[in-house]
Amino acid sequence: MTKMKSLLAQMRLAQDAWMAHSGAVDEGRDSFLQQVASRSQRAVFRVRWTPLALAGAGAAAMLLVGALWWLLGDAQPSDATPDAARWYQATADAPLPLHFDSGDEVVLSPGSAARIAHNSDEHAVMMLERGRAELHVVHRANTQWQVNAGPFVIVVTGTRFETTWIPETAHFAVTMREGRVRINGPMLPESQEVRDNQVLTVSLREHRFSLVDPGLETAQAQRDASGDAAHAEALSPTDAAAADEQMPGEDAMHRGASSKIAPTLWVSQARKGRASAAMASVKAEGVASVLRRATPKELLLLADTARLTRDVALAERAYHRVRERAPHTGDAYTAAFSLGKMAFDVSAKYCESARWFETYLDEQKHSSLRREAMGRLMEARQRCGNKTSAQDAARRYLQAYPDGPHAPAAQKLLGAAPINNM
Amino acid sequence: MHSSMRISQPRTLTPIVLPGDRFGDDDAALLRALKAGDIHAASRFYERYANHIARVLTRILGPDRELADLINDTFCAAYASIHRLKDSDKMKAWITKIAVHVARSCIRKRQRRRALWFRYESDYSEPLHVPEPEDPDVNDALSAVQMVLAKMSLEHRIVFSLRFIEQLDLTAVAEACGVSLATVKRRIQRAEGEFAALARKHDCLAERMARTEKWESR
Repeated sequence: MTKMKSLLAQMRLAQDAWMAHSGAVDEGRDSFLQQVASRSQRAVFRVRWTPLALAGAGAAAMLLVGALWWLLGDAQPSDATPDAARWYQATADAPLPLHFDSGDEVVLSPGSAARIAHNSDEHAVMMLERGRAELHVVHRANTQWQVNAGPFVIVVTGTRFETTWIPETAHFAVTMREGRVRINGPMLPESQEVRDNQVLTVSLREHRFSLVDPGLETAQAQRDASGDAAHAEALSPTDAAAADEQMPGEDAMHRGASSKIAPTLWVSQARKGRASAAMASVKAEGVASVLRRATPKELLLLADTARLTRDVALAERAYHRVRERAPHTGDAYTAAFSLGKMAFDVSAKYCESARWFETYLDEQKHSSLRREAMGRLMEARQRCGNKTSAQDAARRYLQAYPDGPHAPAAQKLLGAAPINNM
Repeated sequence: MHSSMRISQPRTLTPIVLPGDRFGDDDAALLRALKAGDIHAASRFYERYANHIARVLTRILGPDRELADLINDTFCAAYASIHRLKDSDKMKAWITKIAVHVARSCIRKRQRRRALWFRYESDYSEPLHVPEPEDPDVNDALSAVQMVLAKMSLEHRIVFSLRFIEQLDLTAVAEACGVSLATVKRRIQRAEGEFAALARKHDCLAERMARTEKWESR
């Protein structure tokens, strides 16, 4: 093997090691599955509708709705044995029990809707379209029940539990009464087990997931949407309350999910260098809300991330907020330096840049960035058109850092005004 | 008063979704399930090809801070156009081609940004590091190779990375780039030349290049 081929082989190994360490595959999985779950097939497949096709589809949909209405009447069959294919909707004021020959029972809460997609000796599949269902499945060997609730799949072998799916808020919950179930779906570990009075709640919109054991009053497992256990976050009580508003009668246990507040999704994404994803999460959470709640360190992270994505306005807001929130601290000084650098590099506002570097140098007497700040101050003043003060900055720079990277520029700027004039 | 009903007759309706790897190595079943919008198929699809896609992207782009986003972009693009894939045997080649397209678009987008923003540009690349290498200069050499690859013309960089770093065979490279075998052979030959010319400008690579007469037989 030639030397170069050997080097490229080492590069391949080094890249593989970096990939494994980066965790990018795991992050990508969560993002991809969330997008698959949250987007309808029509949206994902990007069907190109022509106006004529759209009109035709609309007409066909109306005909289909009419036919279904005619076939189903009030959508509720009477005492006749229904087909497994039927769709069931509980009225707004009463639950709707469904009894199976096997002894299994499903009770749809008022306003809830479901479809029995399959029912055989080996397994049954129920699609919970919306609302809440209570299930009592009798355990039998070689028999499997499955409940599909939005993008979530609950596999049951014999148990009693309640499940909720609210498509408008992308809220999913399972409250166990007896036994255990396994759940697959976005944000969850594969085959997440829920058992013995545990309450699982997932908010796809908020990118939160919690598994709470009310008996222990402890959050058993919490993860954010990135799948990073270290950045756990429980579903807040307000989320549970919002779900209750959506679904009257929702079990009050959701409100018992007390938890510590951990770094939010955008913070974990930003720390991993996923700037675009972090900014999307910030915007989803609300910029004002993030600016209000973030710690100074998080604000600096937000500003740096915004800068990476060219959102100069947000970066400036975040840096200013750091200086308001934590004046006379290292974070505030760092913000001043960054504001100066951004004004110079991005906005080309050299006078403003010079003011920020002056602020930084006044506030921060000893730091690793001081040399850079002095050099930048000299450049900024020069480009601002203030030659005298630029020369003054050049003299100070040469005095402090005679061999610094800005030294040649400083000497050039001074020209006939050498260092010994100081 | 509750209405009540009995459900007794089995009726096959929608495809049954069961957890676990029910697809095995059966790409045809996986493709059918993907087209049906099965989220477990999407999960399995990702598990099957994510590492390969991550490698392809990293070979072309280097250790990139946005790798997770690019993997996600690749799979979303693949899922969005899954209905166009007819032959399940071509699944790997098809998603590889999408990954190459994503990497190419990413490089072009960054080149445009650099042109637009002049001095202010982000460094998306992270340094590669071989711990305790036998050759003490290897880390410098790896950095130099990254610089050389970054300077190569885009199409040359792609074929060079896929052929000599990922070590795909010529047919796979041709499929990934969407060109004929003859075209890819010519392109690889030119890429070798460009790489060699650029590498000789780096002291730590020049000696290695002197010992490299030919990359390999084609």
